[in-house]
Amino acid sequence: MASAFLTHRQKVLRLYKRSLRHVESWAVHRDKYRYFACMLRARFEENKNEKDMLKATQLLKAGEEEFWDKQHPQPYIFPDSPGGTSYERYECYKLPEWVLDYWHPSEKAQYPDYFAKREQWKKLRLQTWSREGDKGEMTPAGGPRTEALPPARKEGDLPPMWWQFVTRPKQCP
Amino acid sequence: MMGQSEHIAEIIISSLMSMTLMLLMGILGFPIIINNTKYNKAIFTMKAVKLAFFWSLLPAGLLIITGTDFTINTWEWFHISTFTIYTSVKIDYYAAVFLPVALYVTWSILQFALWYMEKDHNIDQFFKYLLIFLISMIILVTANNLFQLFIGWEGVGIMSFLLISWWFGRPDANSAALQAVLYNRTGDLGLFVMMAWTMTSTNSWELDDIFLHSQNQNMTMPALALILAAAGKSAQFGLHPWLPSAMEGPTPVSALLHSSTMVVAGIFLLIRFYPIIEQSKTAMTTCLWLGSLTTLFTAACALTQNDIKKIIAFSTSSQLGFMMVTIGLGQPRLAFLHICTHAFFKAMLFMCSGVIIHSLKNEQDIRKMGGMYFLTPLTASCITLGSLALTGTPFLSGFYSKDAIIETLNSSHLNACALSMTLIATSFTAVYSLRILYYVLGGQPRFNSLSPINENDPNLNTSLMRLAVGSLIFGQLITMSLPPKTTSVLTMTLTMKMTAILVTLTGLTTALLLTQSDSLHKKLWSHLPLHFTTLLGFFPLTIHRLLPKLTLQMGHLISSQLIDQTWFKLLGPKAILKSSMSLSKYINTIQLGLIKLHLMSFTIALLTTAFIYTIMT
Amino acid sequence: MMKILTPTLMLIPLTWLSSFSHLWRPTLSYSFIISTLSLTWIKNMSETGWTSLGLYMATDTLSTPLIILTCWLLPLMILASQDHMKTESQTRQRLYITLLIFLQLFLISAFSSTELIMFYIMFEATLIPTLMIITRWGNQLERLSAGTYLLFYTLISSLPLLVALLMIQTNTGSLSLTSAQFYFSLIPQHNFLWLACFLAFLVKMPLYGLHLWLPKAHVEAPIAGSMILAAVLLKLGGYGMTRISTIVDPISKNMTYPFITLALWGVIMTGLVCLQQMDLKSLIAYSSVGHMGLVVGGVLTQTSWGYSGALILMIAHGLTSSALFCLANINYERTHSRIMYLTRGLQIIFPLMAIWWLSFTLANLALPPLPNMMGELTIIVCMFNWSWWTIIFTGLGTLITAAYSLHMFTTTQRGALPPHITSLTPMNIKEHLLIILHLLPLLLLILKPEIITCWSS
Repeated sequence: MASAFLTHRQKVLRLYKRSLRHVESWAVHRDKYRYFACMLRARFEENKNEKDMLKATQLLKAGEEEFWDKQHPQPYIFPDSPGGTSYERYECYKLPEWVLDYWHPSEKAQYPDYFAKREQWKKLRLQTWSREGDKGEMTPAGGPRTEALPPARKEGDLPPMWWQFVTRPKQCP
Repeated sequence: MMGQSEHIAEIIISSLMSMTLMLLMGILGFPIIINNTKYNKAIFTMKAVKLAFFWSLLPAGLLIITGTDFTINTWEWFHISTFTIYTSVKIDYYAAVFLPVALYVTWSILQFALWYMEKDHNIDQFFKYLLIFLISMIILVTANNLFQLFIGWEGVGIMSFLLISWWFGRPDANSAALQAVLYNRTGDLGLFVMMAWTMTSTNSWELDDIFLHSQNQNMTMPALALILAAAGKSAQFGLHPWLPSAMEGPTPVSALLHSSTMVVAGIFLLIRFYPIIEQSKTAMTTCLWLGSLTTLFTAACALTQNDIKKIIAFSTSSQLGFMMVTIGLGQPRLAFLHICTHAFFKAMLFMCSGVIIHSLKNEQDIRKMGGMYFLTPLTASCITLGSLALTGTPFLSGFYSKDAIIETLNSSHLNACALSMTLIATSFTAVYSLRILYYVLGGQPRFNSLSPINENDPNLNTSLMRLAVGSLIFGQLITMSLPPKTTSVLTMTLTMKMTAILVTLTGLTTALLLTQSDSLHKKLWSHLPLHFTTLLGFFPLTIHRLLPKLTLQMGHLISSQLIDQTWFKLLGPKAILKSSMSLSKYINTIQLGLIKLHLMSFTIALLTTAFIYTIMT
Repeated sequence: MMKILTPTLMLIPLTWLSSFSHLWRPTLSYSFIISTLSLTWIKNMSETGWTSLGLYMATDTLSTPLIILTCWLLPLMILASQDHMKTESQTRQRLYITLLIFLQLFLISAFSSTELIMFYIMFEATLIPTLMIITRWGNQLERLSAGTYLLFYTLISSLPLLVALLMIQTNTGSLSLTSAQFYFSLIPQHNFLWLACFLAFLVKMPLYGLHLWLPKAHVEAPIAGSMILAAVLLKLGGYGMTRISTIVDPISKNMTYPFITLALWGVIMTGLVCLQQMDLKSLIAYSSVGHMGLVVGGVLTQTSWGYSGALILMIAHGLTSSALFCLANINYERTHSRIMYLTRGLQIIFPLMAIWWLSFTLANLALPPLPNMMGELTIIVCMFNWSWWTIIFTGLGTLITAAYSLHMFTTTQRGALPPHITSLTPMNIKEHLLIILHLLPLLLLILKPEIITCWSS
């Protein structure tokens, strides 16, 4: 964990969220979960106004230890989060867009409109390419996460790295 | 005269049988070979399997009517020196009953997959894989020859690899697939030993010859080898972790391979080779112990899992252990019966879980389900029916095999410890079944409100219903038409007779009481016992890290760096290099062109020789 | 015999005289015709003993499959190296093909000679073109040291063989294989004679411990070099051992023990090396060492099962590993890297190539009923018969083989496509054809394995 770089507040909040998630894993039914969530909240609230950093750190440490002791062996993970049951399941259908470059002309001829538009896109990309790199704006590792384009830097200009967004493979088949 | 007509009848029937099998293979092979875009290949495949099912009723019917076993030798494949390998097919009681069952289940699952995999781009390929798997399974079941059996055996293993890693972009799926193959391969060592042993001791791989020649020999080693093979394939204790991991595959795959057909291949092997197993007391005891350990441990693991598919997978593993116990009890027929009945309701349970998972947008955690009783009524009734059949409720199909097994178990004088472990596992069956029903069907919904719940698809409905019918009547049907050959136990006290139901009911009541106490806000977490079963006995955590680490470290440090790149290099090329370098250095010093020195030494040598010569003469 | 050798010889003028624009096509089709012609020998193999008997050459059930394999491989090598030779000059291209043809010539002569001394000469002669191919057309600088390794390992170990042959010649007056049974009693059997005769072949196989030259040579060689090395040159060792064991019966059976032990131990050790290997070509090369270890074990047990298992495995492994090298090269030509972790997830881009990879991975891990399995199983059974402790090694060996083969497949083909791969040219028909031509014989051999099993000495 990058705990060395977190502020005390961040650490406490993360502990709270993690504990809440694990309480949710333990208590299946919602009523029971609400009960224990309230209890948990109360325990955090109790020391909310602790000003003494030494004591606060000790409290945090005790909290971390208690969490470690009482964590769920199989915490609930959302299906499409890392570790979940369908995480990266549809990676195998995500064909990168450059494959279209190698289509045979006869194959390309079956989708004339799309490929005509694509040629124009590529020309446009050549124009915007030099302007994009020097600002050091990069897409996150593993490609862009959402469909939404980032805002353009100037009015009437294309958004940075727009190419990555328009050629993003479908999320799921 | 009588004998002759019987003989003729036999010839006619056996040729009918072989024709049936040929046609069966033809029907099944056709969709793999054709590449016609005119049909929807997936539907076509499904129909081919359907046709094959009806066709396979013929040998089963013949068996019921005539009541005889058939072996058909067809083709001399090849020789290795004096040893001949045939392709020979055996359609006996086991094959003739298993074929229709497998085809019926596959037919339903394929139809289910039409709905489940609808959006997949490669659905045709998926159906092809399933079909190739089915064909290997048929090869395995009908083989009358070790080599042929081995072909089917490895074939199903590899198809399981391909199908588990169907979503190959997912690292977990790939590692699960690799895991499955490696555990299976470990089991295959047993089959290797068996093949080598039969080759040396009986000089034949034909089953009948093996049984004939192995009468008066010590059969412990081959029998244990067979058990190892079966343990790998059927996920018995020690080699079990691959089965829950295999749930990475799509649900139809879990339903077909990892519940009803492929995983029972190990038990089927033991049933086929029962004449060998029964000759060794050690092997029988091993079966009993291995089976009871498996059934207890995996049932306990099933109790605390939260992934619906994993619960069902562990339940499968537990039932496989139960079958192993049955073999240890000396009742291969009953084990076989349990394979068949189990295929129906377990495939159905998997399909139901598939429906629920699909409806809740890939949610597999039972903690996030609930209330499905009202939302998917058909699935809910099927899942209930399947669970009831699994727990051995009277007059559903599970009852006919399970109850008979437990009765035999009660009246046997074998190891009481192993038997009571099996009984405890039986009561666990009720508990985890109840757990699924309680969390998935009952209570309030705990999932997102916008789930695409829809079970009104004809493919889905008919396939579920078909398996439900199977789970309802198959047990009755098979017991009526093909009564078991060994006499069942006829006299028992009431308690012994009722044990199966009593144990199940005990489990059920305890579980119900526990759930009630659970809903009171008492305690949130529990400790080690729960961790132990939730984390599968810490087995994957330790073994799956330790063994690969050791192997890879040994590979890297010892075999690659120490031996290959250091010692072999030092002893071979480097040693020669060094020695010749130093040699050439010495020779070099002489060859420096010092003409005076050379001439002088020459002169001295000449003079000395001359001197010696003169003295000598 | 001449009907194959003469056309092979005449391929050389064809290579040099045909115009440059038509260099590859005629040589390719011509060599295909030769390989088709060579298939006629299959017919004669049902008879035991020697057929197509000439003065110095003949074929029998042991050598025919290997000769056919050699002939089959020449067109495939030409097919495979066409792409990466494009940038070379005219003369070099011609020279390259000529070297390949010479290799075929020497190999056929080696496999079919009935005189041991001719076999020896041809056995050594194959080194020259191989060395040239590796040191001239290899990719990295290490090719020079690879060449040195190859040359010296083979030369040093084969000198004792020459001495042994000369000794047998002086004692018996003949080195003919066809009449070995008549002068067999005259040979002064001695442990050292046995060792001298076997050492050359054990290094060529290579036996574990004497194998260092092989991964180096495989990794550095251009594709044709790797193919012929894996497919046929290693098999010279197995062939030689099988042949020579009819002449020098080990007086003491104990002589074979250390070698069988080493071979079996090598199966496991090379498997472990493969498990942690990053370099694709090196992995395939080490896997060859492991498989050849099984062959060594099979031959050294000196039973007919051992011999036939070794022959089956040699042929099957020849096709399989050659195909794997081709596949690795196809990858290499596109990604310019042999490192497995840089070329992952290719199934998304090349679904059909993934099928080829899968087929040959399965062949490599010996899936029944492929001939690989028949060979391995035969050897395992034969070793088990010899001593049943061997099952621990052979069994573990198959387990590890499955592990690394599937690891290779999973790493290169499965998983998500890494983002740094942004352009790969599609596979062309030529490459598909190349792989199919490897796969086809392998599949057809299932139907009639006797072509490569039925060797009775």
